[in-house]
Amino acid sequence: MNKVIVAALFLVVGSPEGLRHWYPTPAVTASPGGPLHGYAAGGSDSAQLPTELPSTKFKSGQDIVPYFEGWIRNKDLSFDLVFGYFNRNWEEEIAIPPGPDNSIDPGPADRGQPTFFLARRQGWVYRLRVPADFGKGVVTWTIKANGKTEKAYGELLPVEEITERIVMTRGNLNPGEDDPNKPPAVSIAPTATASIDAPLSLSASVSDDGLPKPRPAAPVRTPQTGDATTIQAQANSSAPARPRGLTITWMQLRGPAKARFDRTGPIAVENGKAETAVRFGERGTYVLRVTANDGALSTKADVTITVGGGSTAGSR
Amino acid sequence: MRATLTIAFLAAFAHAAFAGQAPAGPAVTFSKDVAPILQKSCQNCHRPGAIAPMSLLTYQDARPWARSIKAKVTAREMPPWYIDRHIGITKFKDDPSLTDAEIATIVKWVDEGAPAGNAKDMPPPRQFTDIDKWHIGKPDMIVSLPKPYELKANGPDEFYDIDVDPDFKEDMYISAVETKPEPYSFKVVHHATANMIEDEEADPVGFFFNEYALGKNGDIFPEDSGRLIKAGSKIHFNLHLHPGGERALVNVSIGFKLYPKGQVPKHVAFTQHMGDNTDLDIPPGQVVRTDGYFRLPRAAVLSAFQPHMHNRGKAMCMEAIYPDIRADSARPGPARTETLNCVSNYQFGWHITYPYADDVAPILPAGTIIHITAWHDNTAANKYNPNPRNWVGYGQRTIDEMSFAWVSLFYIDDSEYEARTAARKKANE
Repeated sequence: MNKVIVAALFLVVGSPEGLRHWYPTPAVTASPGGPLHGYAAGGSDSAQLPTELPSTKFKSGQDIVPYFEGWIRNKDLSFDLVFGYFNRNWEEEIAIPPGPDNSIDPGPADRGQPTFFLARRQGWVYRLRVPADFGKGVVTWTIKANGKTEKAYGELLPVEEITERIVMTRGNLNPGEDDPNKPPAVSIAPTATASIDAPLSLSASVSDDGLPKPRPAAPVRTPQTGDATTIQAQANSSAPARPRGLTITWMQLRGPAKARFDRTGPIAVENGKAETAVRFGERGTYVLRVTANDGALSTKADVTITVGGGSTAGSR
Repeated sequence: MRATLTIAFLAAFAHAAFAGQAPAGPAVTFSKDVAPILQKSCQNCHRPGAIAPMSLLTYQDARPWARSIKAKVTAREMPPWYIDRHIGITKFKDDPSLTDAEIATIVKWVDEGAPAGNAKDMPPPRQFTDIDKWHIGKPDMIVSLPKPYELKANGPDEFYDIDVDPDFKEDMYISAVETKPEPYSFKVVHHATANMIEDEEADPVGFFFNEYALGKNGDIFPEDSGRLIKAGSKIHFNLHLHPGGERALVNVSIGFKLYPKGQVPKHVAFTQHMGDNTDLDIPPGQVVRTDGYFRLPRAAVLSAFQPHMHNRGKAMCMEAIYPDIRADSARPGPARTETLNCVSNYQFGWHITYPYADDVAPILPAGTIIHITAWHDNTAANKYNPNPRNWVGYGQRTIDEMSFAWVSLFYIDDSEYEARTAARKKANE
């Protein structure tokens, strides 16, 4: 059973005059699976809303949804369509080569889209350039995984226009266009040869303008008896993360199998450098992406690595 | 059963009244019957210079809109007040919504040709000043951006961040707070949050203080509760702007009502995100449910509820899951639950804060879990949906989605919890 149906428990505390004088009551009346009273009898035109919980977590067996982030207007009048994907699995990572199960329409099946799908949501990962006369055209990215087909439709709807700044912040929009902060610059050292399953060193050089100013971690506020002013400072999700200084993060975009990085997650840049290593278990062509982040803005660079019989050769 | 019967009765009454079967009785006129309703519930916005697109001050203003007024009030789209009237708590401060009888009066007036009536029956015109635009009443202090931000006519959403130093020279306790755009900025401000920065070096982000979103009113804290603003604090404004087709100047203000100098409220109130779920999975063409939770570390009194979603938001409920209080139990359950509120017709254009009347404000024991259930409508039937063909997830842009509630509250100790619940029970006997 892939889904769990959970009945919502709702209680109507009623009084004839229509006012619900709320107070804690020792007895409750629940209606498992029953109608949501306000909708069923309250004169609303809403049908019963779903009670299914889509957030049930699955390790594997789920599909992958491509989705459209928006479009960028380029200086040469062309447009970039920007896509992400959402792998509904919490653990299963899937390689899907270009073809009927991973295609871009119109055009050849392989238009540089991701072919190795990491777990969960991976936003802003794929850009496809379309010409100035694209007009009302539509590009469709189709992914079939674990037997289910999902599609994303890229088109130039005005409400979905974005800027490079928005991509750099992964949609957070902060800082704004007039902020003095400039994004970091990142380059990848030429890769050396290596054998399958042997570590391949990856060295990224990163420079930045020093903005935003790195901050120490915020003091941890914990509720204390009698100190309401402390409790009031509970974290709210709208607050942006505090900048910690330059970091890089590696991820895999393409390849026939998993590329295993020695270090995952953000790696601190020290003296303009950040290093790790990666191992490949199968032959083939891999595309890896490094993202340098200054705490507010980010810059990406990709490296293509062909893994042959016992050695590798890299190019950018 | 009692509640169900009540709802059935109300539904039947509403059907009869709104289906054109106007109650019998003397003729309904604008002067005698409708104008008082408009003054009470509509004119604060429907007057020259305010947010609404047309004035409803006079008969001449209102008559051309009679059929539209009937449609909007019978659908309960206007006045903007979308709390479900048939579940949970329904008694609020500053509730502008119309009673069923008031709606029936408007329906009958329209159905009978929307007559003007006798001019002598007109109530005196409602008096307005600019300060009336504050839902919290006349602020004692107003802080604005030092100069307006210039927003371009077209393009994607923009965020604008600015720190303002109001030069607070002493600690202050406030009884109400409201953030709002200047009238010339209403159309382009998606939201404006205000964080209070007490120590710029230690915590440059500050902590959340107040938010304006489209159509939102203010936070009025319960009696003898308030928020503390420390001397020297700065205010960080974060504006989410949506270009509206023409160049716009943007400014916002935050207004405070202050406790008298030297008076310290017993409780320090605050507003908290509850039920955040950033793992949204909203497939195209579907209505889906999302759940989120927040555990109260101490007993608390909730003072206001405000759902927050974006264009695909459809409904949100807030439920209390009470802690297991059995002394012999080591497991949390079976939980006792109670729906506190639902907004069953969520409107992205109206981020309404619903402030509880003091005599019904929820008093919750320590360990209560606030359960937020949200529904998003990603179908073509949702007229606000910018793109029903695509999957959508969490994000800050208007075209992305969110799912949480702003809940205003203050904590109390266990002895006060016992005293308050006992008093509440006695008052309702």
